[in-house]
Amino acid sequence: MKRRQFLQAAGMGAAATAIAKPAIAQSAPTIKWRLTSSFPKSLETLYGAAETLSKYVAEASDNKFQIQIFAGGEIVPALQAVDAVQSGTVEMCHTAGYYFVGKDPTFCLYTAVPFGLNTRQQNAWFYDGDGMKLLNEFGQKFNLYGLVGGNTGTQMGGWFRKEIREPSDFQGLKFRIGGWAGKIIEKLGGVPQQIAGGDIYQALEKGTIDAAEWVGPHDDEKLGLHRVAKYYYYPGWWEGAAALHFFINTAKWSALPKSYQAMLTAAAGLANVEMTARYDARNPVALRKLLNSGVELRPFTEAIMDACLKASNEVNAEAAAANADFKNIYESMTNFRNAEYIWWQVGEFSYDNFMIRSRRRG
Amino acid sequence: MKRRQFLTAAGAGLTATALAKPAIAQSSPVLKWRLTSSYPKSLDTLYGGAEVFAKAVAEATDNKFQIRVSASGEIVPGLQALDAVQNGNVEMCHTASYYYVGKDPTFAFGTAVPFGLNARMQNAWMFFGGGMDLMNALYKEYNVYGIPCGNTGCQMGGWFRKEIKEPADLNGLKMRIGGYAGLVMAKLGVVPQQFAGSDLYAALEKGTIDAAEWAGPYDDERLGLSKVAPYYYFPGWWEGGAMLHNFINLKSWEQLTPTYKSILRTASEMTNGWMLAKYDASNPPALKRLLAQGTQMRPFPPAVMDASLKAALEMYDEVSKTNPAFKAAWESTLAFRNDQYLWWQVAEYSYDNYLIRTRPRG
Repeated sequence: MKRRQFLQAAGMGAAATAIAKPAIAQSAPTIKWRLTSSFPKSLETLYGAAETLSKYVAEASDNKFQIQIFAGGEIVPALQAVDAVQSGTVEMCHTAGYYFVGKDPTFCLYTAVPFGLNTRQQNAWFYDGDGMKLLNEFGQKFNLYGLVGGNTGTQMGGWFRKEIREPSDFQGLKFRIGGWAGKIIEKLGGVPQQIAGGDIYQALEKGTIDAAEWVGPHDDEKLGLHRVAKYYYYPGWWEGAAALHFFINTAKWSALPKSYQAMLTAAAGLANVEMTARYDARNPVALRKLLNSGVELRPFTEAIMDACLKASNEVNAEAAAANADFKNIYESMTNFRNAEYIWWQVGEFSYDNFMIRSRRRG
Repeated sequence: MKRRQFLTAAGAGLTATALAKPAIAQSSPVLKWRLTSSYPKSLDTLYGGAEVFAKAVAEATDNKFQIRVSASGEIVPGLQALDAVQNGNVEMCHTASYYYVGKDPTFAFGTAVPFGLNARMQNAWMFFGGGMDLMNALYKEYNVYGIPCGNTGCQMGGWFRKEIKEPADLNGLKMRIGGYAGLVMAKLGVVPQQFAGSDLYAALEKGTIDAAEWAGPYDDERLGLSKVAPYYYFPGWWEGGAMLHNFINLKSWEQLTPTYKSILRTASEMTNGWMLAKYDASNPPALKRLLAQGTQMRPFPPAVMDASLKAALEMYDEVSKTNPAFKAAWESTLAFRNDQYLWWQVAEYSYDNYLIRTRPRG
């Protein structure tokens, strides 16, 4: 056994004993956990979900179960949140699974794959389909138990300094775009760049990059991207919905009393609903402000969407051929999506369609 | 003081005393509540929501706070659930606010109004658009506190024995349609009828009514409506997203410890997300089965949609003239909705649009 593994195993054993004893003696032991978020405090939408979870768990347990929140970088860098949970450095984190596609591409199925599910469909797949069941089986390899913890809704396609009229306009384009979607941009001849949120503005201003995607109107406006790139494209086909998760170290989760597991589950359920509601309430206000400041809204052309879909299917097929977990969960998701959209076009889409067209009348 | 009032007051006093003591001594007193649902056990979506909620509360409190769920008719009829809570017969109910438009048409805004918000927008309005405060100001007058707890998503337009090709086809049509939407339908010449879900099949089969709307494919299939009316219309423009509520007797709510209040909230919102996910996952396979059995789907023709919108707008104006609470709720909903659809058409709608068109290629 390697030294690192040994230390980890010993640490976990000790924690399990410490918790197990009061769990028998009393069902409401005093527990203090640390949660590392992958987001800065300034993003009240994303960072706020962890605060919501912590608040409701504390209330439900009469402050006996306390979860202290740390912003990205305070304990570990934002993009190492999952590593910190895996090794037991912290008990849990709040992050986007797809930040960790470097470990295994299957991680992107926690958050979003290009041309995947929309927000409600994703929740349906997670909770009522096989989504979380399959992902939590996969997560065991990394000591992770996942609870759905928020969703941004469909994101925007990002900020471009020049108009993008046809697929060939992606040739040589230096585009700040994360993880999995970057592979698709690469297939189109683009040069994907990884840049932390706080550094995007400068890179775009200096021309180090030609385009950048972040989230949607509310979060993007905070970064000021509209001041350095005029064209705002939609939709973000790589994030029809982007789900966040609370990842809990599996040993810590198993050692919790049942009542505390129930509190975490319910509080995560509330945080999930709350984040989407918050984004949905704030995005229209921000979009209006952006339009008033001269932003030019552009849809990706049909030819571009088609080229991206083709490239996306190729990238996913390649990943599925090389990785059984990815293949299994990706197929579950696409089967679910294809059945969903048959229904979606009937009720939801036709209602939204009429409402969009007649909005000005009522 | 009337005898009934006296009894209620005395009863409430007793409960207060009984609760107050353990509330000081311990934050987790043993508590048994009754919840009356407006739904039959056969609907695992709507009735199931109350069960999911009660189970989450029991688990988080180590079974100290037990909520016994009763189906429609066991304690009171389904449409008297709110009255039972108002009088303190039971501590809480799970129901749709719009069943009580007879008391005040403003109740409709807690659930859905014609050409109103879709399911996500309804959550956004409730939690971040002032909806909760507006609605609870009304609910307070009826001695209850309301917490959102579930949503069906956009409903279907219902089952028709004959095709509806133009607005005139609605004239004289006997249709089972509830509450406020019935008033709007009446403007189009429809004769609205109120039936409990379990009686719909017989009424439609016998020809007592010509048409009936209930919810969507999954629930409608269980009522067997496809066997007695071939035409299935969409969208249900009176229910772009129908929200359910937990209503809690105000005194019962105020006497709860902060811990239990918090647990009721998280369990309600977890259930809110659960129910929509359950509908979104269950409707597509149900629709497929209905179509395989010969159901004929029809969109309401544009002229019918336009006439319905016109009638709805007239009705909003008329009721607003005499009811200030209704006026305030409508103006709040309208402003919120118009902002929402300005944004919705950009990312969500264009994403769904592309996915609907390309689904077979994915």
